[in-house]
Amino acid sequence: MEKPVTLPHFDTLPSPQEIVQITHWLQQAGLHELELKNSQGLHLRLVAGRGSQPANPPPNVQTTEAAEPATTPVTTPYFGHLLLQDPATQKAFAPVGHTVREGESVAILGLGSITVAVHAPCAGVVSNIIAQEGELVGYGRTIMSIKPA
Amino acid sequence: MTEPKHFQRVLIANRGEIALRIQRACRQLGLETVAVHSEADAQSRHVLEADIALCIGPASAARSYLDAEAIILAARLTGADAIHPGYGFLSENAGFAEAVEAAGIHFIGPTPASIRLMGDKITAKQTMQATGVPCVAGSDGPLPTDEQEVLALARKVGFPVIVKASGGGGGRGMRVVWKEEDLLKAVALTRKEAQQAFGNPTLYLECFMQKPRHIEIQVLCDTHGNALWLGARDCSLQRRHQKVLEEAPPPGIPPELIADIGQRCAQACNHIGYRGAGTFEFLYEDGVFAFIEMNTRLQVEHPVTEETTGLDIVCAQIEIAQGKPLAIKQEDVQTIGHAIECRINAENPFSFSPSPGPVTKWDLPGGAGIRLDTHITQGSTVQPYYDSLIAKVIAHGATRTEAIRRLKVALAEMQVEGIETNIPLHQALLEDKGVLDGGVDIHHLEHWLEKRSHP
Repeated sequence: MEKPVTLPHFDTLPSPQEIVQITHWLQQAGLHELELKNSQGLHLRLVAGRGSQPANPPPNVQTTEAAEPATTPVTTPYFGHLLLQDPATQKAFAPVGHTVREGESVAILGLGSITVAVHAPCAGVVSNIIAQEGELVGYGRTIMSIKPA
Repeated sequence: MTEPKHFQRVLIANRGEIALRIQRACRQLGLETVAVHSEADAQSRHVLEADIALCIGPASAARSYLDAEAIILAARLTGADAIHPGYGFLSENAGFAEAVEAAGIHFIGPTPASIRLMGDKITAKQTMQATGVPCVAGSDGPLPTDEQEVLALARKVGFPVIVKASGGGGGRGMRVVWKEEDLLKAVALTRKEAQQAFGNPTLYLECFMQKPRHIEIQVLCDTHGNALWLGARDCSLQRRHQKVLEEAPPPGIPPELIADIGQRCAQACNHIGYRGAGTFEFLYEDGVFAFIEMNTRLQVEHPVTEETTGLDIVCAQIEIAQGKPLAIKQEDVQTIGHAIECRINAENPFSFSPSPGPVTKWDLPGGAGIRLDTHITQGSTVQPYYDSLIAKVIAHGATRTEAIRRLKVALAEMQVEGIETNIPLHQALLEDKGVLDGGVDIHHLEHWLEKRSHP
């Protein structure tokens, strides 16, 4: 309780040392399980070992990217009205066939006066658009897929 | 002829059984519902049945059901013009209620000022004392910083005393002190914890009642000056300050004593301009009631009051928020028969470790006097991220004996597979002499569990 515990940034998979540290924090806090997810679909699940056998069996680490699908889904980092086109120019941000860089804005979520960008999780070519222009989409919704370059 | 309504579409800022309970009430009143939910709850029953469903965040409650900003944004985007907060989560957050009203949305609950007044346990107690609601003897205000003054206060109240955080409640931020020599250390420690947990180091001190029962009064107040009390509930069967089984009316307490305390609660509501449903919680020992706190929201155990009064508290909350006057008067409120509620949790019945997972069999009981409030359906999954409450089995009978008889049959009939539930705990409790006689104190369950594990 003395000093606040901070988790590492979850842009990339934490290092094994960091995972061991997080596991210690979990045990100290009396917690069994921790799940981290980021907007890029990276997913880490830690289950603290039972009893006094630290790191044996090793922490259960899974990443959804391990499955390596043929296409990568683009999911929304928030909810809002989906804009696939630039409202000013009516030009689609990333139509089917468009080549995108990793992190490029491929759509916008409109929340009244606020907007939130949807970023490409990887570089590649837009292969399919699933959601409709103007549709109210929820958090984590797949709106399109990208065939990785 | 339809009456003009102030709102048409209610956003339910909650999950689980209470979200479904609120959705039913909205439907009965002809209102549309918006279910905002986490990713984990996408297949939940009230989400599937909502007029509009919107996923607002990941499983983590902090980024979904506790995210005030996201919920208000979701209300704007979906055209919801009222928000029902349910219980838990943001239901007693004055800042949230304020932000909802500032956004031009109706908050189905008390005013932010009432939530704030009752959220601070010292101002709550001072308000009660000013309006004639009996309170536990104590410091009558914040504990002084001077150690000698604290010692003098505690001596005057008499040991054992309980030191509590002004920002606490629901069993959090408190410490019992049995001997004078332990007092100052306990005060220092509780002050530090209160600062860390509630951001407010203010403490107060009360006489520690040793074998009290937990008795509470349900109130319902409209915006036309009508404040009703709907009888009392006994929620003494608790484990770690979590209620397990609740009943109405409290066994063995003279009705005139309850009526006196009920009237005082209604008067206090009028005094503070309370709006909507609320609960005054008391400790009760040797014929004396002592106020502990007020919950400014709907409670889990509201169905036992609904069963004994025949009133729909959730519909009433919504109609009050619509500005309608209550259709009944105090003299119309009756306590008919006896009702008992068992909270069914997805957990091991005796170790209490959570048991999330898919529910492979879900056969529910029925018959006269049995009510089930649940969001679970066969094949649905109990999520590990939230409270483990999955159902409430409520039995009503002409007498307490009849209610218990119906409850026992219902619990035996209820078949759940795939997860563990605390049904065996309820069944064992309903064989306990203390429970069957009625009137046990708040430590009964913990003592019973101790005896069971160390016979």
